[in-house]
Amino acid sequence: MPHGAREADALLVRTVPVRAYATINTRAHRAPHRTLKIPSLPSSPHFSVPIFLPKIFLSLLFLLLLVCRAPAADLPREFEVTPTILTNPPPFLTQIHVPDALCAAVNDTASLLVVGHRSTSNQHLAVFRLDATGRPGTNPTWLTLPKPAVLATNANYPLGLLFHPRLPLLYVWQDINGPPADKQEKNPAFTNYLEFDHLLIYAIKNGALELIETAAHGPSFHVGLLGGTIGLDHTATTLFVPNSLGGTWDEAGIGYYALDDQGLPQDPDQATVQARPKTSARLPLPITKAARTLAAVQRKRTHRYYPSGAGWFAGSQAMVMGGYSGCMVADFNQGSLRQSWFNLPDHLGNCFIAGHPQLPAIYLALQNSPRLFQIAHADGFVSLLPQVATVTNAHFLGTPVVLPKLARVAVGGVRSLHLFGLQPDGRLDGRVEQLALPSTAVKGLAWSEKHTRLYVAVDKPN
Amino acid sequence: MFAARARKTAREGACAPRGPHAPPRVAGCALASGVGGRTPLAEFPHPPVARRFSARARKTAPEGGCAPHLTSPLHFPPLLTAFLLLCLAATLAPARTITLKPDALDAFAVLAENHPRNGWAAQPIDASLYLSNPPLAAPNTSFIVRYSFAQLPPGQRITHAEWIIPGGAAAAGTVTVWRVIADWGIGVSHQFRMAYPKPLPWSVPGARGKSIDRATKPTGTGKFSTASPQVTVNVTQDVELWHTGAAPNRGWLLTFDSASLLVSPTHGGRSQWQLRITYEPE
Repeated sequence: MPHGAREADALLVRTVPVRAYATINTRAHRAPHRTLKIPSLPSSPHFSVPIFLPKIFLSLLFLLLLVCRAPAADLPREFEVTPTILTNPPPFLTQIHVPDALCAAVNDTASLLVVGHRSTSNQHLAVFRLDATGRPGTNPTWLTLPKPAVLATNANYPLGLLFHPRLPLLYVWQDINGPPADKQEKNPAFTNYLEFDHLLIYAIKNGALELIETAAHGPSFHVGLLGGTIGLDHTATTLFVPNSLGGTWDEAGIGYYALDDQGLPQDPDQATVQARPKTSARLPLPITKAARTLAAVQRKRTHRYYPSGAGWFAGSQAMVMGGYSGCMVADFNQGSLRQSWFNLPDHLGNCFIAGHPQLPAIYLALQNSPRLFQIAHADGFVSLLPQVATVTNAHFLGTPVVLPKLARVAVGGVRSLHLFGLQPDGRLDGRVEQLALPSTAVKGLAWSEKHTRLYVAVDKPN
Repeated sequence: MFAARARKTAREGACAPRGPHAPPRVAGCALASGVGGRTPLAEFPHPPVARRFSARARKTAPEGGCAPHLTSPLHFPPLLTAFLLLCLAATLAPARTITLKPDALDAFAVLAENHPRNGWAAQPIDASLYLSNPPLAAPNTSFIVRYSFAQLPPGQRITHAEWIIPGGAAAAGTVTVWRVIADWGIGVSHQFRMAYPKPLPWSVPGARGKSIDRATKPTGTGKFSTASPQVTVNVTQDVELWHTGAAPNRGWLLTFDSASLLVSPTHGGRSQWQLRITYEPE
């Protein structure tokens, strides 16, 4: 049984009602800001009630505010906020018409934007060429993600996209509709899924994507999940993958591959390494078929529910991964991967994370909730207690995206996008903007630092 | 609450000052009352006394309550009146106790010798897995905790503060509470007191440097037992130091002499860590 299950029984989940405050409301403020009632004054001939009451009330209120008001700089750790509604999209927002988008990634070097979505027509990846200003073309190239012929009637879909920071590679994590979680692994019903490759590696050649390698199949991986993506460590020499098997049918694990100098997974099994030349003999690459398939992966239990790998952040000394009710910190201790879990205080559910590339801050979006958490980290080790922002009427979905140049964090949700302001140290500053978008679930977000553009996939063209 | 106090202020203010048991006027009364000390409440520096005298006065007061010669404060400018009312309300306020719960925690970290860079390695399940909750106290694992006192109104004097630390079902051993002296922040761990913006180590790992990392003498100690599953430590002196600004609030360090599973200091629930602070107007 994952530890998350035990915590679910043990913890008392506090539901803090979301109130429609016009401005930030905090627990610290709530105590002194009690509802001020007009006292029932004793009758006296000296009273002139109609004149007296408003004046004295306003004066008292003014003085109370002076006494009780906290400085703006002292934003408390937990706060509720009503977002500012944006009637027009901000200039840095670029909407792309890709319905049912699940993920997106942009490569500034190659000027490519890729959006993954659910599709019944086997068009899974929309590849947009970007012009010099970062504006995407109107007609994308569509790619179909491979799957075994026996699963032709099962819909597969991309869950994660990741460009290599230095090499012209795109890592794709895909999943497929499958049997229930307790009918997988060694269950006969799972036999047809053993050849389904979750990890696909595309090379960027002349502005086009070309599949060069597939991996992560077999009984080590679950199927049918709605979350989980891939991540690279700080040196981009290890690739972490989600949703491998844990200790029990409901416990997620993680897998990881050591990458070679071409950014491709090395097989941990030396016997299979011989089947693939280590040199550049991999080139020329086949055009439509993967050069090879790599099955073996090193796995670790997470002691948590699926999905694992709900966002990754690479610190210089540890890797942070989003997961059930918090995040996992994974570091290599004397050569072996060691993990520690940070549990969100008093909140349960899946957390999708993103890290700030320059500042010591990680952002956790508690799925299907109005809460965004910010927690500090040092070299990848999460530290201290998180800030908790509860946003009125928000319903967060998907992985947050950090906009470093604009000092903001974007979080998708149901028919809306939320933009959180950041302080210079990466903490939330209490400002939140909300923009309505024509999408049932806003999940396809990608940020281009070069073009200062936030790409958002929407269901309907604007 | 405030409305009730204001109501009482108005009622007592109208009725209290007269009668044979009226106390002598005190210095500052004239200033507070504005005109010849006729606003009566400022004459009663201690709320219980004021209530006692006002009760007696009500008994002796004529039917109808207020004397017609009483100058109403309502003739003052509204701002001044409001200020006076606030002052009076503050003067009359009795001692109060506030309980700070996990949501008032400002910062928390685990200083684990076995995981010297990680500030959240609280419970070792095995060599490859640590959890942040619930925390397992041990001689080589200590906790560092800081509360925010934003809920404490300004202008108050701390009269008592006690910290209730609940243990788990089988908690045993002694917990020692130390006031932390050294500044600490992001990246705090067994090795470092902060790692951002630059790494700064403790003088002795685990904040054990006496008089540098932590105070020379402990604030207090307590022992868990089956009869006493929680420990209460008197922390009045530390809270007073921080509240008055005599020392910066850098929280407490908790050290343990044996392994004990504690209730999480960061989680709510039936059994919570509580810091109870009693204060009264200065």
